[in-house]
Amino acid sequence: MRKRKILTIIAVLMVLAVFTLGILTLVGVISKMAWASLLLGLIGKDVEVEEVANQAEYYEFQGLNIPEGQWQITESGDELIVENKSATIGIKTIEKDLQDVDEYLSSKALEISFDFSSNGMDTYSEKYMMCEVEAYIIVGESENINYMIVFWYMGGKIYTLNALYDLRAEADEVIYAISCV
Amino acid sequence: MYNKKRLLFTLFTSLLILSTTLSLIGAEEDFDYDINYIISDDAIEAGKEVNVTITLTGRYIAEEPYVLNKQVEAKMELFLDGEKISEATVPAGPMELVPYQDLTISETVPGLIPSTTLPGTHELVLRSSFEALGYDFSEEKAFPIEVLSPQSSPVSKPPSLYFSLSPLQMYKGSTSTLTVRIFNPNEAAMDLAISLYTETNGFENLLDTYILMLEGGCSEEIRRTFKLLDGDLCNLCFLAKLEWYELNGERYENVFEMGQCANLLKRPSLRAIVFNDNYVDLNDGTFQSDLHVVFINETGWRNSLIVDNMVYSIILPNEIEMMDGPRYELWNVRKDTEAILKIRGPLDTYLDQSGRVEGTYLFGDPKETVEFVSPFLMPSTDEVRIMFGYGPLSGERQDDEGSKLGITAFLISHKGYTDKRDDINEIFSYLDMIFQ
Repeated sequence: MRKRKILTIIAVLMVLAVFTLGILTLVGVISKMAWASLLLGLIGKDVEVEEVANQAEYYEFQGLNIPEGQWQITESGDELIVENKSATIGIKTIEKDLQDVDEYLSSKALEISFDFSSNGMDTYSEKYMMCEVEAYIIVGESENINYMIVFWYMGGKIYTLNALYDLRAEADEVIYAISCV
Repeated sequence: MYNKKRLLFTLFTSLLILSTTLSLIGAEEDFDYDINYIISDDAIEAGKEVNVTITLTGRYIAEEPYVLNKQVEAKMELFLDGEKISEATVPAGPMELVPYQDLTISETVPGLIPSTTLPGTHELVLRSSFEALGYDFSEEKAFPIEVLSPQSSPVSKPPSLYFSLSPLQMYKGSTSTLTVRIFNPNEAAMDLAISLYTETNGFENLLDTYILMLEGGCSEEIRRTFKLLDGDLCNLCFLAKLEWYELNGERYENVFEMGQCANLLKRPSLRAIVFNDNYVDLNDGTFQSDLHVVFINETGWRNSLIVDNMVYSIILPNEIEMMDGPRYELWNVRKDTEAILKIRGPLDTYLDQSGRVEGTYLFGDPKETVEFVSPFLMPSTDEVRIMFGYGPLSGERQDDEGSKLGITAFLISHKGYTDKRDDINEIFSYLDMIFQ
């Protein structure tokens, strides 16, 4: 008799637990995707996952890797020009000794950005990573020209990527693909 | 006692059924999706290939990332007047989805209209089904098709290739499954060799070469699952080159190549556009207006990961008073967004026109951070005064002398591109001055 009571209590608790889980799912506390994932995880099969990565061969320029073969690349001293569809990207490095890199680069970013803005250009800037260091990206657009400069400091040099483009995506395509040696 | 037990049993059973149903129904509610079917041709000669493409486009709209480590397969079958003419399998998983990620899965199922089919209207049905652990989902889509008499004697045709990347969207760390479906559109069997490549940033890498034997009207599937390791790819495509095929004793070499490119999701690039409207003269020497702050994604939402969290501040000129708070926070930004704020400013003092929107946003998994600044110019005091019918303020405005960098002067006076290479060289000449 006692055994039956315990079993009944366990059964009631189990049902209540499942019911509670159902209610929690309904009100959104538990994601329905968690259930779907659990179910699909039970019935699904393991498959071999292959890794796919960049296979490109690179043109090396001043510590930067630029994918070779699909864009026209012209090098001249400490300058290099990459041409891609509607975008032309010029890379130039400037040697400089900097004590406070953050202070210098952020002041330059503000200077350029506010110069664009106060002269009527549409502008915005971003700070993001390039070669694992913080880089400034400033876009300036006027009626006739779209310009983007990306600059950062690495190994005693200021690296600048200068893009003129019709579509920003075409400039981004090159800039995203540039990596560090 | 017996009734009590029965009542208890019924109650428990009902609760159990209800709760398990609640748990599973609406799993699809986490997807906002649309399914579209396209038939290759609605009038086709007997003995020729017909195919149906089913495309699912949608968005994963839950708040947490979704990870499916296993692979499940759905079955798709093509029936002509109830007779099965073809079948294919469609994979789902392994995959990772980030919140609000767009999702596209497109599959083409080819089949051969038997040459013995009589001319006239027939019914082609695509049945999609998924069965597992008692979970049975089946959906049918019917298409009326006109079967025509063969216009010419049968000619040997090369195999047809169909690609699917499930899901089409990829980003650093994500997983997608490639299916290459090779279909023999002839009634006779064929042998063939097909090579599969990845292409990244214009470079091809051979994965494998497959030698296959296909019966007439049948297809084979090559299926491989890939995890993308790099975030700096400008393109990722999968290519299949048909090296040769043999049919009726004839061998054809280097026939063609086809490919499927992933839609690589990149980082979002938010830009604030600020403008004013709804000016009101408050008749106390001040005006009020609506300040619109619109965030657009320069990468395009279809091509970028969403912004998980954004915090921004609006810095206005000192003379302008903001009626609302200056700092804002948004979660799960997945489309262009706009805030409208009330501001108040003087009509009798020259405004400093410079303002800016600045902040940070997070995206991706693991999270990455972008800091942004979007400067903007407020309308001048005189522009506002003229709107209300007042004259311009008397006296000379004390304009700040802008630095007017040479590069800015060059850009704003530019009359349009002649040669971008020359323009870049001109820009190079300003860089030493900027970074002196």
